[in-house]
Amino acid sequence: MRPADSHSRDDVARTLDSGLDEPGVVICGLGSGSRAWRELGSTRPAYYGSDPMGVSLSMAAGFALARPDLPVALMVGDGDLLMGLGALVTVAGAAPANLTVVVLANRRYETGGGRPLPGSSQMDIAAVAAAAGWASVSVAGPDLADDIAAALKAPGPALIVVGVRLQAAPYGGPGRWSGAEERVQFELALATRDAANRRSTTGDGG
Amino acid sequence: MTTHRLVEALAGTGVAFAASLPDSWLTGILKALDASEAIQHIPVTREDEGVGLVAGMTLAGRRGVVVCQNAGVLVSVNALAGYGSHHGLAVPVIAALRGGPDDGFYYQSYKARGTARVLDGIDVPNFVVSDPDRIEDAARVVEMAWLHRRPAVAFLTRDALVGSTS
Repeated sequence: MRPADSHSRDDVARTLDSGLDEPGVVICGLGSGSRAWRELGSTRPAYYGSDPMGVSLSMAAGFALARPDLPVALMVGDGDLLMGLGALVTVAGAAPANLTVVVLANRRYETGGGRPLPGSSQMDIAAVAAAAGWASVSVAGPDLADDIAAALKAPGPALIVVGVRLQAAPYGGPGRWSGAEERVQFELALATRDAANRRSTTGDGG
Repeated sequence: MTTHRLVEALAGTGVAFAASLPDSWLTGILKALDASEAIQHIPVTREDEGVGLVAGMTLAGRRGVVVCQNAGVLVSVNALAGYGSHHGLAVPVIAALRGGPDDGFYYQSYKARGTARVLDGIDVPNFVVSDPDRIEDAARVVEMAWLHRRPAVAFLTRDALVGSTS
C-alpha cells in the first residue's frame, strides 16, 4: 500500500482545493502540509494547526466532530502524522464521517532539513490506518485528481497517502500574522461564510 | 454520586464533548460521561490527542473538555503551551491530582510535586478542588479557559473524586 508515484506538494494542494466541496474547510499540519497550502494562496477558510507538532490530526478530528455540517480536510506531512500515530486509532473510534486526511508522504522531515523518517524504507501509513479501522484508506497513483476526488467522496473518516517528492523548504521568516491572529481571521472568515450560507438558505437578504 | 454532579455541571457550561484517558480515581466521572446524553465521550490513546481534539472543537466554536490524570497533563505540556501561547485556544482540563497526601504510591508522588509548577511555567492557569460537596466548582475551568483564551486545568483530589481515605 506504499505510494510509488511522486507528486509535487503544490499539485496536491491545488487538487485538494479543486476537489473539496464547498463549504469545505482545510486544516494544515506542520511542515509540508502548511507550506503547500500557504503557497497555493486559496481563499478557502484554512487553519494552520501547528506548532504543536504531532496533534494536527486530533485537531482536525475535533473540528470535524464539532462541525459535522462541513467537509473537513487535513493536509499533513508523514513526519507530523508519525509524531501522533496513536491518533489514528482514536480518530477511527470517534469516526468523524466528514473528515478526509491527505498525507503528504516524502518519508522525510522536509522542513527540519530533509532527514529521513525512522523506518522510512519500510513504513506503510496506509496499512497502519487500515489496521486502525479507518472507514476508507487509499494510496494515490498517477491520476491524482481522480484519486483525491474518490477519497473525498468515500465514507469518512477517510485517509489517502500521496507520495510527494522532496522539495526545497526554506524558512520564510515569521510571516505577518501570529498563530492567535490567524485563529481570529479563520474564525471570522468561517462566521462570515456561515452567516452568508444561512441567508442564502432562508432567503433573507438582510 | 458526586461525579454525576460534575458531569451535569460541565454540560451546564455548554460542554458537548469530553476526551478522556482513564485513571482509577476517574472511574466515576468516566461512567457518568458514558451515560450522559449531553456530552459525547471520546476515549483517546494519549492525553495530548485529547488536547488536540478539544482545541479543534474550540476552533469550531464548540466546547469540549479533557479528562485525565495529572501525568497526562505532563504528557501534554507541549500541546498545552502551543495552543495557549501561540494559538490562544481554550482547552479546559479536568485532572486527577495523583501523588498528594491522600495518595499512597511511590510512583505517583512526583506528579503532585511538579505538575502545577510546570503549568505555572507555561502560563496555564490551574486550581485544586478537594471538597466533594463542591465538586461542581471544577466545571469553572471551562469558563476560565474560554475567558483566558488558553488551556486551564482543574485538579481534583482523591477526596473530591472518590471520597475520603480516612
